[in-house]
Formats: sequence, structure tokens, C-alpha cells
Amino acid sequence: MNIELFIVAGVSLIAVGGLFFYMLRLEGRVKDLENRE
Amino acid sequence: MPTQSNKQAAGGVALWKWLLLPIMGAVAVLSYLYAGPLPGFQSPETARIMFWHVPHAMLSMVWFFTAAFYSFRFLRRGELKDDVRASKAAEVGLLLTVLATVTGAVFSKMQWEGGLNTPWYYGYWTWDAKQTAILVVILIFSAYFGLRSSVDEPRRRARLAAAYALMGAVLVPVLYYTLPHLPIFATQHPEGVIAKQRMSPEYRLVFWMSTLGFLGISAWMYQLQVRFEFAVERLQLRRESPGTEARIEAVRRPVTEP
Repeated sequence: MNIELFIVAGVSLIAVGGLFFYMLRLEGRVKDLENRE
Repeated sequence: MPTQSNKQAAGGVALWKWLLLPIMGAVAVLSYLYAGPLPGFQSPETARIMFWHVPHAMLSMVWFFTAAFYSFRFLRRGELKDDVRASKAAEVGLLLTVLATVTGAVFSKMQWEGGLNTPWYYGYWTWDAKQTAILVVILIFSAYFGLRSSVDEPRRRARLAAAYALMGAVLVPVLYYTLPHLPIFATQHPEGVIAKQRMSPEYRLVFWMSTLGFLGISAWMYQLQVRFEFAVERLQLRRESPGTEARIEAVRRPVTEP
């Protein structure tokens, strides 16, 4: 198993984490909007 | 289904959303470190793209069917909330279709057109039957949004869009599955990889995890879109007619289902 696969796996993991936390942020914003009522 | 108790336990965010992180994290890691190169492919290492490409394509169809379901429900019941749900489902479906097209273009270059042995700009688009078909799907559902933006009156817009979405959803399986397999088109697309179980057990595990993960992510996106639309609508109602609390209550309905 070569190093490139580890690097790509690491980058993919970071991308997944970034997407997840961005979705959490959006969730927070929608909640704020709903609670404004 | 998210309940009050598991929402509170997970800091106000439903548990199924938190589970997406370990699922997709596992997919990201296992795609490269567990699922090895797949024999039978011209470029066995890049066959891994199927963990992204195939779920995107399959789920885009699922979301177009969801749009058709809510479109049908709107035509029957006449509630504008169903039109909102239909348009948001179509948005998610279109996003996934575009992602499937992009990943499919990379697959085309790596598997059919020589991969890294050819110039960087070469091989992404071969007018293969399935590539062309997915482009047609993008055009169909882009036109859906064009249609929506061209009509101002909400009920008329909803009726036209609903009829169009129903027609579009019927065409999607024909374009994805039927047309490319006609002898006249002779697609290069690998066949029977899922249905005939040409994947190794490791590939099957990662593939279905990826499908589940992307289903969850797309459902989350859809839910956020719908909740946002409904919240904006309620705020607008309140601003325009201050004395309409009863009307707001009538339209308030927690969105907990797709």
C-alpha cells in the first residue's frame, strides 16, 4: 500500500469533516431563523 | 426518525445527522485503505470512483421521484407546501446529477480514454450513451427551474412545475437505464457491477456505506432547504399582516419527514 493512498484518504477525510461541519453551521442558521418567530 | 429525546441528547441536532460523520469518514478512509484496485476495470485503482459516482446517480433518481411524489400530492391536495417540497427535492436531485456527471467524466478519462497517459484536457467527454443521457437529465431539470422562475403567480407556477416534474421523473429511469442499453447506442459503461455482484465483498461494504451516507447528506440538505423556505414564509406572513397569528399556526408544521 503506497503513501499516495494514505494522502488521498487523509484529504478525503478532511473534506468529509469540512462538509459535515459546514452542514452543522447551516443547521444552526436555519434554527436561528425558525426561532426568530 | 428524529425524536425530541434523541435531538436533545445530540445537542439539538438529530442523531441520524451525527451518524453521517463516522459513516462518511469511514467511506473516505476505507475507499483507499481497505477496498483495493478492482480487477476487470481498465484502470483498477480508479474504479474506486464508483463509491461516489454510482450513489450520486442512484440517489439523484430517488430525489427526482421524491419531487414527483410531492408534485402529485400538490396536484391532488393543492397545498403550496407540497410544491416547496417538490422544488427542493428537484434541487437536491439536480445537484446529485451534476456530481454524477462530473465524477462520470473523470471515470471516462481514467477508464476509457487512457487516463494519465493522455493530455490533461483529453477524455472527459466521449458522448457515450449514458453520459449523453445524464446530460439530457440535467437539461430537463434545469428547464424545470427555468419554468418556475418564469411564472410569478404561485399557484400557477406550482401547477405547471408539478406537471413538468412528473413528466421529468418518468423520463429519468428511461434515460438512465433503458435508452443506453439499446443495441443502437452501445454504451461503454460497465454493466451489472451492482446487480450482478461484480464487486468484491470489500467494495460492496464501502459502496453501500457510501450510498447510505450520501442518502443521509442529501436528506439533510433537503430538510434544511425546506425548513428554511417555510421559516422565511412564516416571517414574511408575519411582516405583511401583523394580525395573522392564527394563519401562521395553520401553516406551521414541523418538517420531520422527507
